[in-house]
Amino acid sequence: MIAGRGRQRIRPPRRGLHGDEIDFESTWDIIQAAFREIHTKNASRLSYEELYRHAYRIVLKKKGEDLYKKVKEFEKQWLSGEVRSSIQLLLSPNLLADAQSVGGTTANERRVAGEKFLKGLKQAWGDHQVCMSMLADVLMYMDRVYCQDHRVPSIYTTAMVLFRDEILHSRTSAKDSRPLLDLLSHVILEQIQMERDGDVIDKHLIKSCVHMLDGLHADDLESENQRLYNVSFEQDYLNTSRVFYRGEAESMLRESDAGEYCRRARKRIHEEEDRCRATLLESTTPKIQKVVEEELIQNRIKELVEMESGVRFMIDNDRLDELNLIYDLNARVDTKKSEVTRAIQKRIVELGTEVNNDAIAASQAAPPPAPAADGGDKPKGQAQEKSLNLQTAAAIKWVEDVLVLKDKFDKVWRDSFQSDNLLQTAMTRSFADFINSATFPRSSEYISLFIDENMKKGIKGKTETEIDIMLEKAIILLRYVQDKDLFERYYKKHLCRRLLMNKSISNEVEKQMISKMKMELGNNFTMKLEAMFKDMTVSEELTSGFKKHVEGLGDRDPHRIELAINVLTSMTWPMDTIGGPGDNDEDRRPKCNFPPAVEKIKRGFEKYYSEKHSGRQLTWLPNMGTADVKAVFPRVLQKDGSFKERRHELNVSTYAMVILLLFNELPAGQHITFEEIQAQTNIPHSDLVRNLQSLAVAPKTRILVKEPMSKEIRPTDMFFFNEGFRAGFIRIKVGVVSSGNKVESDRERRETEKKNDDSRSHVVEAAIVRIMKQRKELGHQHLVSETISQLNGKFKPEVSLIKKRIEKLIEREYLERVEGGEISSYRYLA
Amino acid sequence: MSPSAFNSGDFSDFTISCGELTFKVHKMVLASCSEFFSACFRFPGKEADDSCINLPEDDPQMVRRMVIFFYHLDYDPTSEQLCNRLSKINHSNGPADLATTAHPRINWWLPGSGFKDAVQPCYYRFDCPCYCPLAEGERTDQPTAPPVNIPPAFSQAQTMIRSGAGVQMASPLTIHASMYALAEKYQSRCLMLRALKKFKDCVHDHWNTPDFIEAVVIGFSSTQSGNRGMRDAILDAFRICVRVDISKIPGMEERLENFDEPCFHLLKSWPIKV
Repeated sequence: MIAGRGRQRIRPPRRGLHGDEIDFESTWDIIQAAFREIHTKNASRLSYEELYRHAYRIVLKKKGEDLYKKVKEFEKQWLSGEVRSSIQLLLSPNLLADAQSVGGTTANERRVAGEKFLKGLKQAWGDHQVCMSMLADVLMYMDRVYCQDHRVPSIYTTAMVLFRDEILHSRTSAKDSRPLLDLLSHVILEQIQMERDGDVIDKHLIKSCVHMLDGLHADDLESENQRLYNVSFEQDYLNTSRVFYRGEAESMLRESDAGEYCRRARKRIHEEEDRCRATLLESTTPKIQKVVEEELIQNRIKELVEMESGVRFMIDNDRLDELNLIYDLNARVDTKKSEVTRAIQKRIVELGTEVNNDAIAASQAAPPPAPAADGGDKPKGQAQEKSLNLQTAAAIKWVEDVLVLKDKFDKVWRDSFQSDNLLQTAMTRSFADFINSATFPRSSEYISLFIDENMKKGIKGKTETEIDIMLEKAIILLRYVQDKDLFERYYKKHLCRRLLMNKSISNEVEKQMISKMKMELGNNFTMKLEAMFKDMTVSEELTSGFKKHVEGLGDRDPHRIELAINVLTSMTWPMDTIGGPGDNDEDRRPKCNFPPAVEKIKRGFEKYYSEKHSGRQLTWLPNMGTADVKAVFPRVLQKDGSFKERRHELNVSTYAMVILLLFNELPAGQHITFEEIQAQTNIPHSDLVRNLQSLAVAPKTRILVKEPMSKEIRPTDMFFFNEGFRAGFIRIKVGVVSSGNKVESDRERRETEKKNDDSRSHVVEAAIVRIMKQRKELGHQHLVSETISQLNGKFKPEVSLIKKRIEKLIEREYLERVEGGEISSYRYLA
Repeated sequence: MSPSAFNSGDFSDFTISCGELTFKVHKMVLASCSEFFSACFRFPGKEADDSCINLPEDDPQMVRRMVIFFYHLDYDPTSEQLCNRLSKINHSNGPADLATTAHPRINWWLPGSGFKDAVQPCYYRFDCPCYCPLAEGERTDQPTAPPVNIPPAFSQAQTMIRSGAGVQMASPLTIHASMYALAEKYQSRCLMLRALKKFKDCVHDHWNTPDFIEAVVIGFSSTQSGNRGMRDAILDAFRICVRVDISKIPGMEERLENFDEPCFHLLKSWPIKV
C-alpha cells in the first residue's frame, strides 16, 4: 500500500530535461560556432552555462562518443588549415635555404629569420593551449563522464597530440618534405651556436619552444623517455655540441697556454650549465656536462698537463690559480685526479732529486775523505776536517732545501688543490720516494745532523714558537724517512756527544724533541733516548753524592781533585761512538794510566759506586772526559818584556790532563819524547796524537813546545813545557781536534750501515720468533708479510734478509720446515 | 561559513539566478565545491563578464538547496539536530511541501526503556532525515498519523513530539535523488556524497511511497550508467526493504529507468524473497 496516495498532490522536484529528445546536429552546430569564436579569440559574449548545458545534454543522451569525434575532427581541420598556413607564412626563404646550406646569408639575417619562426610557433602553441583549455572547460562533463567511462584520453590531451601531428610533423612546405620539427631543432641549435660565438639571443623564446617539445611525446603512450624534447632535440644538441667542443679543444690547445685553456674550459662548462637553466631544460645539464667534460677535459687532460705551460710550468712559476683550475678540471672527470697527481709527483721527485744531487755535489766538491779516519796520516787531517765541515753544511742545506720544497708543495696543496686527501697521500709518497731514494742514502744522518746543529747553535736567541716550528719541521722530515732505525742510530750518536760535552743549548728543547718523536714514532723508538737523559740526571746525583761522601771522609785536602762523573749504561749509549768496548773492537782499549792523584779519586769513586750498586762494573772512558787544570807558569822574560808569574785555568781533555801532569814531575828544561809519553800513559796512539797536536801545535794553546816544530807528530818528537806561554785570558779552553758531530766519511758510513744491518738481523729474527711463537705454524708468504708489517714502523726489511734469518733460525733449531705441505711453511720449536 | 554571510550576501561577487530565485554568492565558496563553477569563473565568456549566471533549466528549489549546501555542507530536509542550524537561514521563502503522513519515531532514550544499550535497527532512529526547517510564523497543517508497524517489543516507545520549527518533508527521496543528479551535472563531488548519504538514511522510512517510485526513475535516468552511486543505493533499498534482489531478475535493472507503480506492486509481491 502506498500511504497517502490520492489524498493530496505533492509536488516532486521538476525532472528537468530528462524526457526531452534533443537534436544532435543542431546542438553541435551551436557548439561548433562557439568553438570557432574561441579560436578566433572572440569568446567574450559566449555563455559558458549554455555551452556546458548543450554538451551535458548530448553526453547524457549517450551521444558522448559522437561529440568527442566531432570535436577532434574540428580541431584537426582548424590546425591543418588555419594554423599550419599561418606558420608556413613565417618560413622566409632565408630560413629554408640555410636549412640546407649555410652559405648566402649573414648570421644576423639567419638569426632574425629564426627568431621570427620561433615566435610564430610559440604563439601558435600558446594559442592552442589557451583555446583547448577553454574547450576542455566547456566539455568538462564529457571528459569526466564519457572519457573516463570509456578510457579515452581527455580532449585536451588529444588536441595536444593533434598539434604534434598536424603542425610539427607536417611538411615544411609543398616542395620541402622535411617535417617542421626538424626545422625547429635546427633553428634552436643554430641560435645556440650563435650564442656560443658571442651573439645575444632570445633565451626566453627558445625556452618556450623547448617547453612545448618537453610537453609532447613522440608516441601515444606518453612514456617518460619519449618526450619530443628528448627524442628529436636533445640528442642532436649533444651531438652538435660534441663536434663543436672537439674542434674548440683542438684550436685552444694550439692557440693558448694551459692556464688560458683551463680558464676557457671552465667558462664553457659554466656557460653550458647556465644555458640549460635559461634556455633549455635542467634535465639536460648532466648530459651536456658530460659531453663538454669529455671533449674539453677527459680527452685533453693528458696533453694539457704535459704542455710546456702545463703543470710543471705552473709549479715552477707559482701559478696557484692555474693549478687550482687544472685541478678542478681534472677532478670533474676523474675522482682520482690521476693526471694532475702524476705530474705533481713527477715534479716533486725531479725537484727532490735535484736537492739530493746538490747535496751530493756539495759534499764532493771537497777532496774525497781519507780512507782511514783514525789512521796516522796527519797531513790530510786538516783537509779532511774541512771537507767534513763542508759536508755538514751540505747536510743542513739539504734539510733546509727539502723543507723549502715541502713548504712550496704544501702551499700548492692548500691553495690550489683544496687540501685534497688523495693528493696529499700522493705527494707524501713522492717526498718519501726521493728522500729514501736508493741513490741517496744519507737522509737519516742529515736530518739528525740538522737537529744537532740547531740544538747546538740554531736555537740560540729564538722564541719558543720559532723553536717549536723548527722541531716540527724536523719531525715532518722524519715522517718521510723509511729506515727509522738508522735515524735512531745517528740521533743517539749525535745526542750522546751533545750530552756528554754539554753542547746543547737547552735541555728543555732536547726533551721537547724527544717527546715529539715519541708522539710521532711511538714509545719504543724513544725509550733508549730517554734512558740517556735519565743516566745524565742520575749521574748528577751521583756526583753530588760522591762530593758529600768525600767531604765526610775527614780533613779537607787542599789538593783534592773534584770529580764530576757521568755513568752511562752501556746498553743505551752508543759505545762505538764514545770509544767504549764496542762490539767490533777486538783490541780492547788498553787502560790509560792515570796519575796517582787521579787514580786515587778514581778508586774512591769506584768504591763509593760499588757500595751503592753492587755487581756493576765501571769502565772508564777518559777519551770522553775533560779536566780543569790550574797551571802556574814561572817568571820568565816574555816577548813583550813583562816578567811575572802567570796563572791560567786550562780546560783540557782528560788525556791532555794526564799528559800535562807528566811535566809536573819534570825538572825545568827537560823533555819527554812521544814514545815516552805513550809508554807512561798508555794513551791510544790516535788520541795521543790528537791531544799533543792541540797542546803543542795549535797556535793559541801551545802549552808544550815540540821539537822539531812541525804540524805532524812523529814518534821521535820531543816535548818541553812552554814556560814562556802567554794568553790573554785566565781561562783557556784547549780544544781537541774532531770532537763535534759531523757528517760521516764514506768509510764511517759503511761501518754504520753495516752495524745497522747487523742489528736489523737481530730485530728481524726477534720479530720472526715472536710471530712463530704465537702462530706455531705459518706459511712462508704469510710469515714474510707479517714480519714486514711488524717492522713497518722501524724500517722496511728486504725479503732476502728475512729469508736468510729464517734459514739461520732453522739452523739454530728455533724453527723447522713442515714437510709435505703444498706451500712451504714453518713450525715453531719450543 | 556563518549563515549571515549567506543571508546578507556581504562581499558577494557573483549572482546565480534560477527561475524566480536569485542568490548572491561568493566565487571562492562555489569554486571550492564545484568544478563547474570553478571552470565557469575561469572561462572568459559572458558569465565572467557579467558576474552572473542563469541556470534556466534547473528546479529553483533544488538550486536553492545546492547553494545552501555550498555554504553549510548540508541542505533540507535533514535530521532534527541539523535542522536547527539550517533554520537560521533565510531560504528565500521556499515553500515546503508538507508530508501527508508522519512516520513514527521512537523515543529510545526514555528512562527505563532499556534501549540505550540495545543495538538500534537503523530504521527506528528518531532523527529521520526528512525534517525540514520552517520559516518562523508559517502555519502548517501537519497531519499526525498514528504510529504504524511498530514491533511489539517497542510498543511502550513514545512517538516523538515534533517542535514547531520544522515540518516533515513530503518527498525526501525524490529530492535526494534529484540532488545527486544535480551534483553530478555541476561536478560537485562532496554534494554527490552528501545526497547519497541522505538518501540512504531515509529510504527505510519512505520506500513504501510514490516518492520512492519517483526517486528510482530519477536515479536511473539522470546519470550515465557508469555512475553507480545512486543506482547501488536503490538496489540496496530493494533488497533490504522490499527483500527482492533486482540483479537476480534478468533485464530488471534496465527497466528501472521507466519504473512505475504497477511495477512496484509487482516487485513487492515477487515470490522469491531475499
